[in-house]
Amino acid sequence: MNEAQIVAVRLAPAHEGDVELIVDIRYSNGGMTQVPLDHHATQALFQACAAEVADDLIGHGWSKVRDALQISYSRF
Amino acid sequence: MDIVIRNGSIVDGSGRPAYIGDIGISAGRINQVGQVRAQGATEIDATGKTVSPGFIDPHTHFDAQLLWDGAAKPAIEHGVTTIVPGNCSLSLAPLKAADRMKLVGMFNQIEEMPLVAFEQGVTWNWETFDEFVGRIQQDLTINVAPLVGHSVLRLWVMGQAATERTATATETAEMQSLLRQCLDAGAIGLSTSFVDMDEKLQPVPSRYADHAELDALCAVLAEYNRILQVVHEFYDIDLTIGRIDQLAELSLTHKITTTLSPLFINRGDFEGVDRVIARIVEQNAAGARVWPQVQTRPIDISFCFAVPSLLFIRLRGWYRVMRFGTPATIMAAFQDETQRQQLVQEATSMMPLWSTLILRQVQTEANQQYVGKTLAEIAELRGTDALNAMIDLSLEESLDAHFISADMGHNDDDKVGSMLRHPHVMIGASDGGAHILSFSTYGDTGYLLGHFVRDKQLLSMEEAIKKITSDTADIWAIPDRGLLKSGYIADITIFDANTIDRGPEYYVQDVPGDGHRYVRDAIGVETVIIGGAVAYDHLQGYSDEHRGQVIGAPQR
Repeated sequence: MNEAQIVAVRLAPAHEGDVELIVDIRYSNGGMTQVPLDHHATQALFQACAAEVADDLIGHGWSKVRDALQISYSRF
Repeated sequence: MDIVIRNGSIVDGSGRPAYIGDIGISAGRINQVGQVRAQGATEIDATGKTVSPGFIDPHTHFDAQLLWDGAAKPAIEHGVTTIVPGNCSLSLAPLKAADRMKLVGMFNQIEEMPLVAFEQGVTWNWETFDEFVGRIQQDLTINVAPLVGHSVLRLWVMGQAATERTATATETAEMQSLLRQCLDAGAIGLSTSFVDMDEKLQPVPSRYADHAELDALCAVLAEYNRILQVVHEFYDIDLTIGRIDQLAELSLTHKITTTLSPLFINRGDFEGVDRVIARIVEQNAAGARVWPQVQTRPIDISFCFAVPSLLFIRLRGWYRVMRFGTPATIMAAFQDETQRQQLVQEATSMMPLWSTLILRQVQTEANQQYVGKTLAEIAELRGTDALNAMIDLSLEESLDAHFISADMGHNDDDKVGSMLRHPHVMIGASDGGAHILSFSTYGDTGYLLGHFVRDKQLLSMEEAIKKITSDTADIWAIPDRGLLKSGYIADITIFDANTIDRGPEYYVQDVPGDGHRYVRDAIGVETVIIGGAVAYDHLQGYSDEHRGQVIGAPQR
């Protein structure tokens, strides 16, 4: 079974005026979901994907998103 | 009669159609509604105007402001007669002297209330909730229905351990006892947070509570028929639905009302919002009482170059500078002619965005003249373009120039309108009194009545007024308010339905310690009566009447 992949990225306003990155993820069965990432998680994801711009994230696997979230959460 | 309001279009808060009539007021209460023959000591001609119950704002953070401003300005000017402070697990009482700076730090971190405002605007002469209520009751113009914060209950009982672990059975029992004291003193309910961070960017104390602790506190709320307010994981639909189920369980177990805030659309994720509301409908159909709060105003994005922002994540050159830069290297990049030219060239494709950005805050006196203007306007004054104006201002301010992009989310009128109209949605989440250096949290009711009712016709006036008066009073168990009805307390707003709105946002220096904040003036609100006396009149300004009450507090 193929790993779910990032298929789109976009910016969205967060509750208190910040910007968050939304990554759209498609599963191998066609199912879609979206995951919001804060600044810290986004930085970690960029690093993991060697990305220089948001669109570079497209095509990368879900596990990198998961790990980036983990890095962000583990700050606490 | 003390006051008679004559010939107004009465929208009584019940949802019934408006009708032309009079309202007589005596001894602080509504005495007659319909045709009033008696003469009033004060007569108000409301011909052509709408007369409604005073608006109730259920989600505010006016806690600190009430210590230096008993009117919670400019809330009353917008027709609001009752506010609920103490949301999101944070209240200013009960609070031991030793924990004051800890709580000030949390207010600063979470609600952006400046530290200097606390230093210069607050005389710390209370510890218990009862003492705090006594403190704010002096010169109170607006009505206050205060929540007690779960985080401060934990701080009081557990001290440092409040941010380290779950509570023991003994500590939970102490919190229950403390909560009872607060409810006896006038607290309208308990607030908690599942998401907020403290001044050290650690989870706030309430986030260390387990379900058993929250359950035990809800058992106390049940004894008093009081409400639980929570900040849920609003950024994640699935976690939100999980919290709805948890709140429904607490509601059904203890027969209490619960509310979660905020619920908003920030990613065009209509389906996600629909899922949340569908779950609420499902749980409420099973007997639970779970109310999501939806704000009326759109969401803005703010940023300055001193703090990393994802706003530049689509621009390779810009994000490289931001991502790997320190303030000094970012300044150097802006100052270097070649690098600056490259950055400008790369960002030119987004010029429509830069032109509409508004300068929110600067540090130097010289640039204060530009605050509140768009970059397009500033560029014209400076003889440059918007992008270069943004860079120049940032350099002049050592990167401490703040910009905002307005209406970036929660801005689909049809969808937001349908949410506001939904019978299982409460209109709220204004955050009044918070985030004062980022954006204005005042005027949401004017925006509701002007934009969604008059201009877009997505709600009727009667429907909208009911939502922000009697519905709110019912949900929050606020007695004798929210309706224009004989015997009810005379909290009344008179406004022009043809003009009511929120005014433009602007920057004022009226916070203790010479601090600034963003505010909006009201448009179309003519007279606001609180407790049977005129508190505000659009021609005369604020009166000397201080009839505001802490709702639920014993009379002193």
